[in-house]
Amino acid sequence: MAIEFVIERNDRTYKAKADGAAAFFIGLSTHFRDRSSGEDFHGLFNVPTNGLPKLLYSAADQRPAFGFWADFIEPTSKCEGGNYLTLNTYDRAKFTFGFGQFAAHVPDGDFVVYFRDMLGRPEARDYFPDLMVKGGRIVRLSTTGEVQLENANSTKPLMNYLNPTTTHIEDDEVIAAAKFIHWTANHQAAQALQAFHMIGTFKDKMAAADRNLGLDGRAADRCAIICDILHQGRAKYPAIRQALGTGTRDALLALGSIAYPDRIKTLKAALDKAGAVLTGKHWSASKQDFV
Amino acid sequence: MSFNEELVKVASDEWERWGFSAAPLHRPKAIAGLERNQPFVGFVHDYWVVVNRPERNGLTNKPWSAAFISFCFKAANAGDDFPYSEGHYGYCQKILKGMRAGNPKITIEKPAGTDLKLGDLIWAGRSGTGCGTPPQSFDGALTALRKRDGFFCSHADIVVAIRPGEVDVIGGNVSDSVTKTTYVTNNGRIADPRHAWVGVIRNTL
Repeated sequence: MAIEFVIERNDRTYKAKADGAAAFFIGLSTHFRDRSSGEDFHGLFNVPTNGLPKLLYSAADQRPAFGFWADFIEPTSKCEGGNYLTLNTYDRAKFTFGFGQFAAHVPDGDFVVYFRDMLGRPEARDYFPDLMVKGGRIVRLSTTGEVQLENANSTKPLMNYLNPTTTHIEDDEVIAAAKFIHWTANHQAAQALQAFHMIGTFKDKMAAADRNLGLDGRAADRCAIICDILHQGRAKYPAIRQALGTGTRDALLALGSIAYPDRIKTLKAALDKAGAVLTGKHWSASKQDFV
Repeated sequence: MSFNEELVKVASDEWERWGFSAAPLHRPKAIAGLERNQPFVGFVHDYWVVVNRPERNGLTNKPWSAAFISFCFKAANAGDDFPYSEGHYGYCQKILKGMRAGNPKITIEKPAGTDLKLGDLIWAGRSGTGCGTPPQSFDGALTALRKRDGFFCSHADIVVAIRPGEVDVIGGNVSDSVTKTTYVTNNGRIADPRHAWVGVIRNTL
């Protein structure tokens, strides 16, 4: 039976109650003006804030199911804040969720494939009884029939379903956020699904990086830096190739270090902590895996 | 050839007949034959016949994954040893009854404690129109099977290949086709978070 969510708002703070239970934190309102377009964006965020429970990604938790790849994504998870409940509804993506910052605006992208799998889980009807996956696409059931919310070219209807506008914070947006947070906080499988899809994303990145850079035999710590660079988009292949050519880890870490010093510091600390777990594995182009 | 080898062969032959539809791990699905197109409409009819529903085919708006499982067991010469049914709930209920009667040629095992073998069925609850919230555990599923009104929607696939950390299964009515799907395993046990696994159905036929 569908869980009933009730919004509680106190100034900038948004909370929700699920079926009358204690209120839980969703996020704070925020806004900014895009200087290039002059557009105003309003929405919610919850990292960094004090209100969010520390439901953090840990490789140790996910290693039994996903093996080494659980360790491989951990440095980037730390750079992204690492919280399974991370939410952002104030930018062009309209709805971004999870420690991997899966964003709803990319057709067949990380958020879409993750949400499809979430909707395949049996508890999905407790949260989104009006949504289902049909023909591989997310559809909304309404009194007038089924409406497809995403296709290979657009996710606009899905974005609008989760967050109708970026000019205001609507109840639909707050309720959708509350559902994702409650679902993830209360179902370990929902957390595992985030890890599963983050790993899928990083497998794709490794395959693409291998094609562009030829990474056969490279240690996993170097590969993890490359994936983090690609994930954040702070450098392109020519710069990565040049840094890789120096043979030093520091050259890769230096890419984007002026613009993003905190991220690089976090990444370096995570790599140092992982130590031989990462340096002891190497990419095999033939196996498309670490050995 | 053992029964389970025969079962895997039958499922694999059907998969070939549908054009090798596949849902690999972390890769886009590649679906070939679709239930609504010829000759696949008729293939689905073949499955329905096994569960005494000859009026149905691929155009019938009914889930046919259990009919597919029944077809595979029939074609693998299970004879009267498999409780053919148009629903997974239906044959699982009969399997449980057989276990209670001390006739465990086919059993339902706990997913978290069962190393997968070729020919096993992996069984998961699912949501869907008119389904309600299905159980999410082995104990919950068994409790539901014991009830007269415990019906829940579910799905099962046949294990056809096992690799470290992964298992390939073949099932019917998966993306409207007969599809080979790859799932994540942990030490040989099903651990994929995309479904709530409620049972491993094992046979010693």
